[in-house]
Amino acid sequence: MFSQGLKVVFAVGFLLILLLNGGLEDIREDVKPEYYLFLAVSVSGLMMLVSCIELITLVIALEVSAFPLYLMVPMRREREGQRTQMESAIKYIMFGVAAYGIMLFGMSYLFGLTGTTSLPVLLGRLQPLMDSPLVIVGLAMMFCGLYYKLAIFPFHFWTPDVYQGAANETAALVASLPKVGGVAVLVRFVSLAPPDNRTVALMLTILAIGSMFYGNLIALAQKDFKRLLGFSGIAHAGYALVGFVAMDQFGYSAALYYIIGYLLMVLACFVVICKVSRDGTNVAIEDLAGLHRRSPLLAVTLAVGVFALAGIPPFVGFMGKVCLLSAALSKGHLALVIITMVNAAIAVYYYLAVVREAWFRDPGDRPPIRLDWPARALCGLLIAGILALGIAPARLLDTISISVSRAMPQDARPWLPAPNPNGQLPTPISQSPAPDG
Amino acid sequence: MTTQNLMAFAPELVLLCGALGLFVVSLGQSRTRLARRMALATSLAVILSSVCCLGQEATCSAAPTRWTCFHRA
Repeated sequence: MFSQGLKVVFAVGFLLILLLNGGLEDIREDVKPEYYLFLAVSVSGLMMLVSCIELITLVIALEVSAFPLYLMVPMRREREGQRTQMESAIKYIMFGVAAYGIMLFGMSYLFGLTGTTSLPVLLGRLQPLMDSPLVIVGLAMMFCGLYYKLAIFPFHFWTPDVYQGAANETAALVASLPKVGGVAVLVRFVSLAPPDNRTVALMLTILAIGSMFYGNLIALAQKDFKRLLGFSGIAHAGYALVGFVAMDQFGYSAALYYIIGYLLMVLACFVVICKVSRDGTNVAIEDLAGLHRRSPLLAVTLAVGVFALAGIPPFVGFMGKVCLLSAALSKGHLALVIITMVNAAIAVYYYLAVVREAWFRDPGDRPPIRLDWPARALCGLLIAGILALGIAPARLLDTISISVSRAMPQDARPWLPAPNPNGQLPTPISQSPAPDG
Repeated sequence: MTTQNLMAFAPELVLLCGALGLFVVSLGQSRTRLARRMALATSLAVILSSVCCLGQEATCSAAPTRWTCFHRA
């Protein structure tokens, strides 16, 4: 149920990215068919990733999903003799190799301690050793590969350069689907730790705070829209970690819900980038000036996407943040909740600057933008999705909650309530009592 | 331990078949339009198969490695 539900998300994301791609204006003509091939292979790797309950399969799936991305980044067309895409690709590969190397090293510790690579068996054997420093170090190192995928501080260094150096279409892919995969695997791992494990909660809290502050403060100074989205992506990964800090089913569901919403929000912004930049060049924030006159539909899409990222109601970003903060507050993480709210307030400043440029500036001599029907359909789909998930989240949250409860076999998590003899599932979130506060 | 229920892996299988088709298309002369159409058709087929497979469960090669020589080293 857990992996099958996420496969639907990846399948829909795959279609949205293909619609967003258009004619791949900024990809070299001779490698365009290969681009589609690598895109399909990367998505298949992500589908395998969310199905894994075994460490070796997990490493293989991570690499199958990541290697095509390493190849897609340098496929960008060269401009004026500059090869920034090569620099970005090399940074992406080097950080990726380092992060996966650390992850493998951590896995080797856990394998050495337990003698198995199967997650349910491994976690069962780890329970009595959970306070051992070697287990904590092993788990922390194993999470590194996922932090890299999510671009969590301090594994974020590749993000702004890859977003800026890659083609707009590639950056849209890098910014969206792998993050859903990263959160899904993190849910599988963290949900196996007992809810009262303070070490894991403290580690996640530190990473969340670091990511939020770093991403939001650096984003304030950005002029390039893709770089801004890169730094804000680091902050949003930090928001998602707030749900993990609660270390309960509600928190994991909130994190997954938020990251699925983030997929739609960030794709809405990338549609605008791809269409404003007709020849595939990067888009500065000032290039969005007067967008409401040049293409009203794009301006509305941008406003909806950016307002949702800022966490303004009634969009999915607001509801996601409410769920995350409720989950953290119910477990008594008041300081973390306050820090998250401060960061959300900081983020509003740079997001509104983008909207101001699009809606309150004169377009000058910038030409109007004509959209073909796939682009119009994509804008409509994304706006409808962001609104629908924000206004009526209960069904999706319940589905995610049920799937999270089934993410691992019951015997690997003895602290969870067992299903009753009729096979009835745990109470969905919408029917469970509201958290305190 | 492997339980046979290929339907549970249908999304991956469809996507890999699509990727194989894209590989064939990418050989030789560059045929971008055909590749795009094939990718779009694959994505629609994957959506369809993943919706059909909701609720299906199966295990493929769980725990291929269970060595005990390093146990509690």
